[in-house]
Formats: sequence, C-alpha cells, structure tokens
Amino acid sequence: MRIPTCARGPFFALVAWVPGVVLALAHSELQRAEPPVESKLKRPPSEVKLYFTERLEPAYSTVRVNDDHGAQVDRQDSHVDSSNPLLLRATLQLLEHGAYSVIWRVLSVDGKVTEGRFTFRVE
Amino acid sequence: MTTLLFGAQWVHLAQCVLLTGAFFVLLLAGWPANDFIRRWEQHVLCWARWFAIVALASGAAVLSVQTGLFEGRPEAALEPRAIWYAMLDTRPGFLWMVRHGLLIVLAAFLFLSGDVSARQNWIAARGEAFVLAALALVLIGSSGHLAATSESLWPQAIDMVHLLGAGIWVGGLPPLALLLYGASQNAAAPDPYAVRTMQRFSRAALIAALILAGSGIASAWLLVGGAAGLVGTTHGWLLLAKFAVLVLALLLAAASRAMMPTLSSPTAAKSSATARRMAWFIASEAGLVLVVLGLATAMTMTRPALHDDPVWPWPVRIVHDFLPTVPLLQRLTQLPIAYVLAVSGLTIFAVVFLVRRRPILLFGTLFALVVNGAAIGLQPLIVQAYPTSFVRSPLSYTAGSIAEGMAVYQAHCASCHGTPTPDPAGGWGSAVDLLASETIWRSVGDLFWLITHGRPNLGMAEFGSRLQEAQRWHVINFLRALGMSGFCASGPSRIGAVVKPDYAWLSAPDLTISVGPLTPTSLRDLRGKRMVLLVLYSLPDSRARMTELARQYGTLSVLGVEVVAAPPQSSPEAIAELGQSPPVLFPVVTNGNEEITAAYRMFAPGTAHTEFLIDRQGYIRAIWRSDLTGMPRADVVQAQVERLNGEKSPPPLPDDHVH
Amino acid sequence: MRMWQVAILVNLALAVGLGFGYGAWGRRLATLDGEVKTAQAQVEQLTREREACFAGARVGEQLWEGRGIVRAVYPKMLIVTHEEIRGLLPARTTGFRLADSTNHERAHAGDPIRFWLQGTGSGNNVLVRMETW
Repeated sequence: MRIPTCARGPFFALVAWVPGVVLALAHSELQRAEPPVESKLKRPPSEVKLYFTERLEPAYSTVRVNDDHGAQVDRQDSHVDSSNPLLLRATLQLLEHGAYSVIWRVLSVDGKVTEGRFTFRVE
Repeated sequence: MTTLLFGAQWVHLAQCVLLTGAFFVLLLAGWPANDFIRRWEQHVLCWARWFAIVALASGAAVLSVQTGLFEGRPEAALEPRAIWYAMLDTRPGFLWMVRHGLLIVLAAFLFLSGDVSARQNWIAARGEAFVLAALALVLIGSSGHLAATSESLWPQAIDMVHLLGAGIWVGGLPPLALLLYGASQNAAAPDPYAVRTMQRFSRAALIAALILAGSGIASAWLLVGGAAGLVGTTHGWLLLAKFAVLVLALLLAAASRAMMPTLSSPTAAKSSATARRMAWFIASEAGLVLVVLGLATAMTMTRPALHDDPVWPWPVRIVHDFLPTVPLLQRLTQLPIAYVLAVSGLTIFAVVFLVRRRPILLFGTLFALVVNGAAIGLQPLIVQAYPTSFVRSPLSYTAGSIAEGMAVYQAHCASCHGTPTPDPAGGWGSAVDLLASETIWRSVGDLFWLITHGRPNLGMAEFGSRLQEAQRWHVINFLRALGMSGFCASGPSRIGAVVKPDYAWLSAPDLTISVGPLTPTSLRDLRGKRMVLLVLYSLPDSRARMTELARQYGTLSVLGVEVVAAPPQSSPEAIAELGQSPPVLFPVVTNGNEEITAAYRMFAPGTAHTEFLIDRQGYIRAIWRSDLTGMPRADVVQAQVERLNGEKSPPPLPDDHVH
Repeated sequence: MRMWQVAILVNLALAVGLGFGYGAWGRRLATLDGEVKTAQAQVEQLTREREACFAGARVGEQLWEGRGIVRAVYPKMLIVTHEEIRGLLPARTTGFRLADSTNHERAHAGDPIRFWLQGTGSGNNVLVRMETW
C-alpha cells in the first residue's frame, strides 16, 4: 500500500497520536453526596450516601463519619449498595448539632484507590 | 510505593507486548527453510523464555504492591493472606489470576520443547504461543477505565484492540532488528527470507498502526475531554509527551520504509549496508516505543484529565459556549470578518495565479492567510483567562448554596457592586458590572480567580484571605443564578407562561424536599423520572389555587408531574394550615423554605403566588406569577405539561459534575 | 504426542476449565444471593408475626410499624404520607382503614405519627394503633 509523499507526514502524525492514549485508566470520583458537600441541615440525617463515577469494589471501599472531636458517629456498617455498584452508604447514630466530616476511601474496579473528605453541619 | 508499582507495571506490560510481537514475527517469517533463519528463531525463542519469566516475576510484584495500596498499608504487600484476599475478592485480582494462568501455560509451553520439524507441528507450536501471549496482553484492557464505567463489553473492546495493535507493532520490532542485523552480516546479499519477512512486517505494521489510531482516538475522546484537559493536567502533559516521542519513532519507521526498495536491490554490498542501517533504525524505534509504554503506564496512575481540575497555562482562551441571547452571532457577521474574507479571497486568487508553479510558496502563503484570518476573525471569541479558568465548582448548584452566597455577597460585595434590587416588571436592576455581558462570558473558574486575587488595578480587593474557599464558591453559585435571572425576565430568551419547545437553558437549582420529619428527598432524585411543578404559595391569597391543585393532583400525576409546594417560611404547621377538604396529597416543604424562596425568587421577584414548571432534565420551562399573568389556571398548566410531554428530543442534562 | 495435538489439548483444557468454572461459580453466586435474600425476608416476617401475637392478633397475622404525616382524617380511614414500611410498602401516600379500637380522634392533617398495621399483608391490613412521632 503506497501513501502519497505529501500525505505521509500528517498520516504518521495521526497514527502517532494514538498509542499514547491507551490504558489511560481512571479513578472513581465522588459525583454527589447526600447530605451534600458543605451543606447545613436542620434535621440530622439518618445515613450518608456517596455516589461515585465508577463501579466500586465492595471489599475495599469504606466511609466513616466523625464529629468535630474525631469520634466516629456512624454505625460502622459502610457498604456498597448491592443494587447499585456506584453507591456507597452507611447509617448514622442520632447526630447532635455541630460539624461532621465524612471521610471516604474507595477502590474502583480498575484497581485504583481514591480518597477524600468533606464536611456538613447540623443546626 | 507508587513508583514501585509504576516500575513493575511498565516492565510487565513491556514483557507481554514483546512476547506477543516475538511470536507474531516468527509466524510472519514462516517455517524455517535454512540454517540462518533457524538460528535466528532459536535466539528469539531464548529471548521469549526470558520474557515469560520476567513477566511472571513482575506480575507477582504488581499484585503484591497493589495489595499494599488496596489495604492502605505498605506491610500488606508482604502478607500472603492479604495478597490472597486481594486476588480473590476484587475484579482486578480475578483478571490477574486469569492472565497469569495463561502466562504460566505459555511458559510451560516454551520450556518443554517439542519436536517441530514437521510444518504443521511448527505452526501449531508458534500459533499456540502467539494466541496465549496475545490473550494475556489484551486482558490488561479489561481492567481499565473503560471497563470500570460500563457493564457492556464494547468500551473494553476499544482498549483490547488497542493493546493487540501495540503488541503486534511494538513487540515485533526487536526480533526484526535482530533478523536484519544478522542478515547484514552475510558477505553475500541478505537472506531473501529475511527480506521477505521485513516486507510482510511492513504491511502488517501499517494495519496495526491504523488499528491503533482508531482505537486510540476513541479512547482519547472518552477520557481527555477537551483542550483544557490536554494542556492543563498531568495526564494531558503525559499524553503530549507520548505524542512527541511517538512522532520521533514514526519518523524512524518512515525512514526504514523508505529504504525498503534498496533492500532487495541486486547489488550485494548495497543491500547489505541497507539491512544494517535498517536494523539500527528499527532498534532505536523499539527503544523509543518502549519509552512510550512507560509514559502510558504513568498515565494509568494519574487522574484522567476528564476528572481533574486543569491549570490553564495561557492568558487568553477561546469561548465557544454562551447563553443563547448574547448576540454573538450578530457580532460574527460584523464588518471586520466580512472584510477579512473578501480580502483573503482576492489575495488567494492573485497568489494562486502568480505562484502556480511553486507548491511550497503557494501552500505557505495560503497557510499565512488562514492564520491571519483566524486571528482577526476569532477576536470576538478570545477572552481573558486565568489558571483556574477551567476548574469546576466542588459545590453543587443548590438553593442552599445560592442563599448562602447571597448572604456572603450582601456582607462583602454589595458595598462596591451594589445590591441587586428586585424590579417586579423587569427582573433585577443592575449591580455594578455583574449583569454586564462581559461577566456572562466568565466561567466559574474565572470568577473564582477574580474573587480570590481581586483586581488591584480596578480597585477590587482580594478575598482569598477573607473568605473561605467554600464561601467563595457559594458566592459564585449566587452570581450564576443572578446572571441567569437577568435573561429570564425579559428579552428573547424570556421564560414566560408558555413553554417554548426544544428551548431549555435555565437550570433549576437543586433543592431539598423536606416534609415534616420524613426522610428528605431532593429535586435531583426526580430528574429523569417526573416533571415538577414548584409552587411558592402564601395563605390566604393562594387558598383557592391550592384547593384547585389538590383536586387536580391526580390528573397531573398521571401526566407525569410531581407537585411540590413551599410556603415562604419553614413551619411544621404548613400541612395542617392547608386543611383536608380536599386533602392535600403532594409534598409540602416544611424545612429549608427560606433557602428555596431566596433562590427561586431571583427568577420571579416579589411575594406573589408563583409556579415554576421544571422539565425532566431539570430546566425551568415556564413561570406563572399571579401579579403578572394572573393566578395560573388548571387547563393552562396542563396544556404546557402536554407540550413538554410532546417534545421529541430531550435537552442535554445540566452540568453538575462535582468532586 | 505431536505438537499440534498438544496445542489443541492445551486450548481445550483452558476453554473447558474457564468455561465450566465460570459457569458453575458465577451461577452458584447468584443462587446463593437469592437464597440469602429469601431467608432474610422470612426472618423479618416471623418477627412481625411474633409481635402481632404479643399484641393479641389472630394466627397468621403480622404487625408492621410505620412513620409518617397525616394528610386527611375520615371516620373509617386515615390518609398518611409514610416512609418505607419494610416488608409491605415503599415510601408513598396511602389510605389505611381504621380498626374500631383505634384512638384517632385527636389526629389532624399535618400531624407526624408512628402507627401500627395489623393483618395478613395481602390488602386487608388495618391501622390498630398510633402515637405522636
């Protein structure tokens, strides 16, 4: 197969673009949360739900909720929802007024670990 | 830990690629017909045995390092129990098992040498090795991003096809270099079988390159997400670096290809020298693409550009998305563009006529003209940019955020920018600068930079030290709502009592529907399922309308509408006040009403009874106000709902991608 | 054995091993999941029957607890917007028949209540008791 001389440059450039992109594996990011990030709530929530951008591995994905003294206030039952592999949830004890931080660490099915935290207030 | 993982994965990927390519080239060369090819084949098989061992060893290293990362503690990498669980309980672990099973079978195949003197035995042996190596390679694609985001097989297939192409092309280069070098050592002309193999490989590499191009573009489309991601993130920079190294490698490939005719020339010395030169070129090419594999592995370990916050490196950027009413299109047809087009056209004709015999001059002049024209023509689209221009807001666009932002604005910004005053007839009055068309162009990232660093030359102080990051983002959400409110009250994009089909732009701020002590839901939960009629009412004026809504609720439900009613104040008595004749069965918000009122009243100032019709995608499509259009009538609302139901193509979802 | 026979044997062994292993293992997982869910539902049903028994119900009746907000009160019926009643109804607005003995006089539209339903579950449940939430 012959490529015309003047088209060789652009052709090879186009082809060169490519192998670079392969295997750009990705990480699961927090898409949205309930209670929302940095929100102020009038009533204490009974559970936290975190929605991610990629499917999670149940065996290595956890979330915990601490109050502002660092004590754990969730019921230590964090789990990936069996009907939605993008959802991580945990139920909470009854929360008093104050600020709380949600700390999460998840493993997506492509083997990448991501973690993060955010806060919310109960007034 | 991460560097260790990077090293191990790079080595492992390289071995799998080299194994696949080695057997591919052996198959291309065909059943060894003379001693020279037989000796070369033994060399390559010796290499292949080493490749298999190193692949298994590096694979084991990858698994143990990944165990340490999964568990979050480095010691776990050396605990057999932890490794066992990581392998069995996760999808990447399962795929690791399958791939290394294949590699072990391949290694056994290679070390237990059988009798390959008969042709069919030779084909079976080499073919089987190729199939096993190729399978072990393409299954790496099953544990990629494209596999993680969707259950269907087609996105994974892109990665798999890409890996196969890479295996065939990249992996074949070292054995080929060895073949040509050996061929060039002959005093006589290079072995004709070697030449034939080179020619066959040339054709196969071209096809492999096309496959790589196609699958790579598809993959990039899904992962990089735009120019900002390409130049502003680590992932994007790695991609550009790979591109640069690949261009070098492909130039070498092109040079080798250009030397092909000389290879089969009748002069022995000439073709021998060519063979040696080609061998060196191919070897260098192989070295370069192995570096590319390293860059590819590094890319797997950085956050993909689509999900990262890009840092824009230049002071300007080109705007291409805008609110529909801003008369960009009118500006585009303004004078300078017309002049440019006319002048360029005439110049092109003149130049073509004068330099028709010199292609380089012609192309050069045309190129210069196009660049010039673009520079002048794109002027209206070029705006000031800052490093955070493409950063997305970490906070969702909610009524609570807007209300919070409004409070911060009143406290810190109103002194200079003025208080936006509600004007019942025509929307908000102008706060200094903030409703001007220049502000509309600014992305949320631009606003964040300006608020954080101020504009000293214009007298605006910096707020990076005075306001927390969250507060600044709340103000930006408020400014977004302010900007949109300016357009929705009057002008060509006005949102009135009649739905304009296929015209959705005003995104509805998310709100929390909290009815008494029941678990709150949010407007977001109804997206994609039902339309929402948000009713801001106040008793006693709205009594008659609320009675009508209570009666009409059944019909509206069947048409796909959920009614959400919110009085201006949070009050647990709200449902009791509405009474039970007829019973009110739709949600009545009793908590967080002040936020909802503050945010939504920006689109309909005043205190009159107002109803917003929000479509299934989350856009406000119609607004009824009792002081302007009279209390909305049942049949009118229903008619608009039916219009929405009849829309053929739903509008795209508003962006709420947050981290 | 000839090489090509070895090659075929290896391919066959791999295919058979992977195929059968995945088929048996994968399907077994799904079956086990289903069995666990059924067992969980049965345990909950037995708990409810036991509680109903303590409350003096007939054999086979269960007792469900729910929480919600009253929307309308009629002599023989209460309309309540409630949260999910596990094992019976999802979160929605439902009308419940009132037993003669229920203390519903003090309920008005807008009151948050906890309530108990008694019955066999297939549409003949009655609201037997309520209190403020």
